[in-house]
Amino acid sequence: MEHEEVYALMMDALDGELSATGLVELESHLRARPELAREWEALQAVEQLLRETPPVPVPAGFAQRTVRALPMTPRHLWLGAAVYVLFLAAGVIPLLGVAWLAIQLSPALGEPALWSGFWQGALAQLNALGVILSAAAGGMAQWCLQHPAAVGLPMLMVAIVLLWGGVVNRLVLHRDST
Amino acid sequence: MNDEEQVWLERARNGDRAAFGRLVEAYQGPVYNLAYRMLNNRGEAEEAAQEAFIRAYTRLDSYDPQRKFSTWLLSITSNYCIDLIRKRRVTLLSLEEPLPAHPALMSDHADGPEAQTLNHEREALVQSLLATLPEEYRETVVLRYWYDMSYEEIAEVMDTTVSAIKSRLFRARRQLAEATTDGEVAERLQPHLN
Repeated sequence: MEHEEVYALMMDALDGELSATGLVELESHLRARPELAREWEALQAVEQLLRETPPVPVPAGFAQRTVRALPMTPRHLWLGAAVYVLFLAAGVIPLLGVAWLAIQLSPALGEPALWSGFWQGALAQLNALGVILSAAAGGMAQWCLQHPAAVGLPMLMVAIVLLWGGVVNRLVLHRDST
Repeated sequence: MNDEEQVWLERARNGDRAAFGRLVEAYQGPVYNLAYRMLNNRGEAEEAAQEAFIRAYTRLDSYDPQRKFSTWLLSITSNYCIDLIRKRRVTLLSLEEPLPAHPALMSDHADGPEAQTLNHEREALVQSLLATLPEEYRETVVLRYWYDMSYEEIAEVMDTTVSAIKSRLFRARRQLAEATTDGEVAERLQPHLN
């Protein structure tokens, strides 16, 4: 029998597919050929080593890290694009409407009476706002003069908080730098 | 693949990342182990396993449900690992180089210190023997011994014929046997044989 045929018997034996008669045949060949018998021993040793070596455990947190690294699928990308277009349309459509309205009203926009009326109205609004703000400021100033403790105490508290914030920040920075 | 996994797969195909996460949890062992045995480096193995899952996720639409999911996933993993080996050949550890301790093996508190040392030595020996094989032979051996795959399944993963797989395994076994006849390797192998 040729060496190749003996090797075929060996491989079948390693795969557990060699019949009892095949095994007897193989053994007789191995008895007659010491060099093949040595190789058979080495093959069996490797077989045992590989079969008895357990799988290695997976690093902790592997699955979580993998899921976090997953990219967006084409389906998600389409959804994202649709939302983007929706938002874009929500901004662009009113803008186009205003532009259209401006074009429609352009002859009227050139009327001097329209602009003078607009400025007069705006100035009246500003005057009213000024009166309200000055009245509110005057009232607050008067109240503060009447109740100095109510103003001083919150200011003191804010100062303390800022001071402590600075101290803590300094300590943390100092710790990080060391 | 069981019914529950079928549901996760269907949800994952509809873009459900959490469902795909369940599949990652179910198959992380086989995928990571294949990458580790192929690349012989746990850092690279983790990156490769992660990349394999990402590729699977982005190609779920091309997955044929008639095929076994694990076979498809391992096929992606092995292809990626082989690409990586070809690109990073210089970074592979050779037989002569000392192999880093595998922390998972070292942290096996169930075994005593002697058993841990023996496990570590066995692991180092196996990885050094695998590193002597060309990548296609190595992959065939890994799929045969750690995944208990038939020749047909290995051929499907590696996208080749059954006869090619038989031939690769035959040569790989002989090459490994030849490597163990080296005095130093034989000495390292002896404590692991009954």
